[in-house]
Amino acid sequence: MVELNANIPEGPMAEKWTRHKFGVKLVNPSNKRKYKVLVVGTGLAGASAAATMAELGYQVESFTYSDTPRRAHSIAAQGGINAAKNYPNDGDSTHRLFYDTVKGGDYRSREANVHRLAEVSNQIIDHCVAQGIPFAREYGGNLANRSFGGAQVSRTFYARGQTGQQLLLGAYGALQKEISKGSVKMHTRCELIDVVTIDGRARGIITRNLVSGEIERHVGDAVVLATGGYGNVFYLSTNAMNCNASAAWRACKKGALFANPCFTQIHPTCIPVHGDYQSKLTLMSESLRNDGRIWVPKKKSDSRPASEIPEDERDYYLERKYPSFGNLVPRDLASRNAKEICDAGYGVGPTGDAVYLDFSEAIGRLGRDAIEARYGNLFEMYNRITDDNPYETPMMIYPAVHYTMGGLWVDYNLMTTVPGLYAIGEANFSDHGANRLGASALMQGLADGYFVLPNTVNNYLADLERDSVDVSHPAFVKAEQTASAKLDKLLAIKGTRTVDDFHRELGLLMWNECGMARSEAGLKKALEELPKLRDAFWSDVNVPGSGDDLNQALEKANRVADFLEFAEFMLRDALDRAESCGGHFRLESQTEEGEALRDDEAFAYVSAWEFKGVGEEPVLHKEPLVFEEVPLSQRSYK
Amino acid sequence: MKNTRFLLSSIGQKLLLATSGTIMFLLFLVPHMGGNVLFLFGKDIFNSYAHHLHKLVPIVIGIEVLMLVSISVHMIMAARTTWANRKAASSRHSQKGSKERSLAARLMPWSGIMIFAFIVIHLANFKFYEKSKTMLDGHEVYDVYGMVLSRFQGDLWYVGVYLFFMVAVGLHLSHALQSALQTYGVYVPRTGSKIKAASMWIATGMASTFAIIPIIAYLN
Amino acid sequence: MAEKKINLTLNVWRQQAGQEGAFETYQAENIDTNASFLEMLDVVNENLTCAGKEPIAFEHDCREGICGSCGALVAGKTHGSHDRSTLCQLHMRSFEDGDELTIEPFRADAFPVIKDLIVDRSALDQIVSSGGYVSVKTGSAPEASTIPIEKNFADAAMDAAACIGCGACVAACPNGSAMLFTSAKVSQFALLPQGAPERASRVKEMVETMDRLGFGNCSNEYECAVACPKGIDVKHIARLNREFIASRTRKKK
Ligand SMILES: Cc1cc2nc3c(=O)[nH]c(=O)nc-3n(C[C@H](O)[C@H](O)[C@H](O)COP(=O)(O)OP(=O)(O)OC[C@H]3O[C@@H](n4cnc5c(N)ncnc54)[C@H](O)[C@@H]3O)c2cc1C
Ligand code: HEM
Ligand code: FES
Repeated sequence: MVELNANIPEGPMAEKWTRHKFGVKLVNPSNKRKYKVLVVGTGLAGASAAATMAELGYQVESFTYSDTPRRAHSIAAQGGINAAKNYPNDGDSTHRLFYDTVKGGDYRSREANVHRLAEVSNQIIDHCVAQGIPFAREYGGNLANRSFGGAQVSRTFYARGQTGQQLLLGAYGALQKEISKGSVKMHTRCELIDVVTIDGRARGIITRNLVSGEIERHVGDAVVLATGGYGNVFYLSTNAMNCNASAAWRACKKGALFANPCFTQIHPTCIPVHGDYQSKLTLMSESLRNDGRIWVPKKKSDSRPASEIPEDERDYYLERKYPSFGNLVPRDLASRNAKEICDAGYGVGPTGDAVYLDFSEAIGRLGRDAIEARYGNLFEMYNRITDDNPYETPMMIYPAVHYTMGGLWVDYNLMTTVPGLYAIGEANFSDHGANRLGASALMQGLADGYFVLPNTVNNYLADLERDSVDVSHPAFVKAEQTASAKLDKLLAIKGTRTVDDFHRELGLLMWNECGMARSEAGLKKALEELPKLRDAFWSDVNVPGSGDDLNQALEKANRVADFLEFAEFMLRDALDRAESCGGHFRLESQTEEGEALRDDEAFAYVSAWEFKGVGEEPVLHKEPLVFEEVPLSQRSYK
Repeated sequence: MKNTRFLLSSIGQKLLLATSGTIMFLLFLVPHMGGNVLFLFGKDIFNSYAHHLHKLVPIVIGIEVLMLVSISVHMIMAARTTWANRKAASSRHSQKGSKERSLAARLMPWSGIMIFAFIVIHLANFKFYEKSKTMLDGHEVYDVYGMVLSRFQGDLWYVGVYLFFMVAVGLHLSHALQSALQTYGVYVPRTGSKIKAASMWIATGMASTFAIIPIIAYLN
Repeated sequence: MAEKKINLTLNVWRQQAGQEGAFETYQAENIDTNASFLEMLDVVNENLTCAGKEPIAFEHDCREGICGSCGALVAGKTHGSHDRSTLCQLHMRSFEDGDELTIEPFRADAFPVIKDLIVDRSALDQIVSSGGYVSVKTGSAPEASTIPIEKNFADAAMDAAACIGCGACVAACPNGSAMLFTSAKVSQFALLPQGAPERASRVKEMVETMDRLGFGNCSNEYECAVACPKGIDVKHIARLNREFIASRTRKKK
């Protein structure tokens, strides 16, 4: 029987982390090198954790499927990273960052974790500046800040539109430094395909060498999953093409619980889908909504070009419905409204799944130059992709899957329910509740990797009894056999449909039934269709080539096979949570005006799901959420 | 040891190349061109220049030794870099350069070899060549003017070869001058660079000036 | 976003690890001009798979020009254009119906081919490993606002730091040199006070590693900067040269 114990330290909120750091067991410096930690993932979370633990003296092995650690998906983050520095003197504080994050998460995150996140946020900026990350500066030479969605203070640090890239390169540099010293052993083009547990503890991983196809066993004293989010279950998302749920899912199959899988974030301003060939979606910065006005024609299926639609035949629906916030409502509201209006037949563009984001009024008011100075690079990016000129015709945008708040359940130490198995970064669930605020994912990834995990992993390792387990242990042999049997099976089917074809179908099913709006009927329908799709996959997929060299189709097939299983957790979670909160909107739970209605009485808990077998109903465990510092209240943006 | 490692690194080699090239440019090509210009002022002035030059024998020998060292270093480094460069990009198939890549840059090793060949021929023709004597201000001096004149007069083929080599010098210098600056760390922008333009003009000017002598001598 | 379909003939380099490679010809039919180059390859691959053939292996991840995974030589140009864009950002509207395109991996001695269009660029990581960072231990940093940095310098450092490590500079350089890549990292830290303590050793080590790994020398032809999708300028190479020269004198202090 799984016990959920969040291990939240005693004491007042603001002192928990300090007390905890004092309370945990330590590993003597000269003993550290006797412990080996396997870190899977080299994004912000993984690279920072691996480098820091190596600095502390642990033996670290690091894994990524990319050809180099620097290409992890974190590289794509544009906007920035939050911290409670209060440099602009606008009233920010650790407490306010904590408060905003809990509220922004629609009261579905764990207060103690969020408070710690806010506490270490400043140290992250200190460290990144010391690493030589070229953050934007003011003329006086001080660090510049900007404001970002969901906050009334300017607390976002940024490096042009490439903050994720710069932060990742900082962490990558730290990792390369440790690699050159020999304290980190790096395995690139190496994909985790199973987690190995011995006597209930995580003791290693099984990987596939993506170049030679070899299946390899790695033993360690602790395993850290920093493997990112599962947004690609929807096929189309703003995530990098290779992002997948496999590592977390395989861990789940080995006993780790999966928390809040239905909490996914849909970003409102993305470039719409334009054809069947579409492989991914591109995010356009949220800042565009500061000056762009969102509208659709008042007439259904109006095929006139935007310029020929007179002002009084345009429906600025966000301004109409939310007079006080207008176009600046939070991400979830902006997204949902776009979907509703398009579903009702008012959408524009060749597919009808797009709304206009119009700058003509702003250009008229501020001049083209001012708009160019603010958004020039975004307009250029838009123009490159669509060949349309947003200075002359309105942009077309549509929401797209962007981030997943759900993830492996972890306690305050970031350990999953499997002792010795940790999850950090987007791969865990802990800090963002039902909705993540802009510029908070980078903060969380680096907090986990630089400052939290290196201070909590010792608590586990200090108690570990030394044993002589090595890769010849039967548990490793068995895990390897199972994993390679699965690959062989995939290769043997040689059916008629490609992997992408199945992935696309899964994505569509999830987008329709478990996307921006969810209903009991839809979810139940999807729960019926999913096993059929899974069966079709396993009988008709065509994976060309063999397993003993570089085979991208095989890699993909293995990941899609996991998505097909994991998707069921999302559907079940969405079905269980009969309330609307954050990114999760249940049609059955809305106010009379159609706004999300949270139900704190019934659902103020973290859903942690236990795997019981493919196709078997998973078991739900609940971690009750207690709000001591931030009083529960319903959001309103009218 | 440390120094050799520094000098034989990729940038070190380039520094040696640039330095030896610059020495040859400043101490050999520029003065030589200056001397050649005197040819235009007639027999006496030119012979007097040649005569005075001969009086500075210790300095001239010093410079000649320096030249010998420079050209050896230059050629060794040029060979090393060119060799390494060819090897590092040996697997190319359909690659085309962009418009950016100038002909001069492409031809550096070839124009260099031309220059070397030319120097050998040139020395054979004018330095180690039996010269007749003539009278200047009552002294007997070598008639260098006459020698040059006679070498070019009537020999169109020889003039052609000489001019061809001058094109090589022009090409080599037009890339070399600005390139050496970049090697030394003086930023030479990719486009719209005044340094690049100057390099081109100096190279063209220099090659044309050198070319004047054979033309004038031929027409004389 | 006018819709248009085009047909292309592709001569694609196919190669298995450790074997000789060769060009093979494929037809890319009915390609929407709004598709990206990689989406065009996806379509070709789906067709190859359905026809029982092995799809073309090519590297990609973000598909928005930031991860540096993608890249191939298309019609003789790295990333298919010299237009400040990566291959994933290149759209098919840049091509005409009936075009014949040669598609090859990024080639250089230091980038051995792994399969088809995928090459091994780990040499770039090794260059970074030898000094492309500031050695600061987590936890030891001073308060971030302690050292103000002139905006010009921060901006110039950011220009250099924008490198995505795609390797186009190496592939475009007639000498297969990694000078632009190396210089971008050296420059970033040379421009910032945080980089000062390791300034001399960084440039020395990084150049030494670069040389050791089989990259060619810089002959200042600037093909790298033409090819760079992020517009990294050759001024960084000039700075690298200065830093390298200065490393001799600085060290003796
Ligand atoms: C377009 C875009 C813009 C964004 N902008 C912002 C922003 O402005 N601010 C902000 O705070 N957040 C932003 N985010 C969110 C943020 O970028 C991510 O949440 C965060 O970077 C995740 O970091 P991570 O380290 O957890 O995981 P990732 O960066 O996704 O790294 C995952 C790592 O795990 C490895 N991996 C995964 N599975 C395996 C396996 N099976 N075997 C081996 N290795 C594996 C991968 O190779 C990779 O190295 C943005 C996200 C997107 C998509
Ligand atoms: C008058 C004689 C010469 C002068 C003034 C001269 C000058 C120069 C200069 C200044 C450079 C630029 C160095 C740099 O890029 O930093 C250069 C490059 C070069 N020189 Fe010469 N050079 C001369 C003769 C030669 C000879 C005889 C050869 C070879 C046989 C030669 C071969 C080269 C080559 C191959 C390069 C380019 C190397 C590279 O950039 O990779 N040069 N030269
Ligand atoms: S796929 Fe990331 S840069 Fe092209």
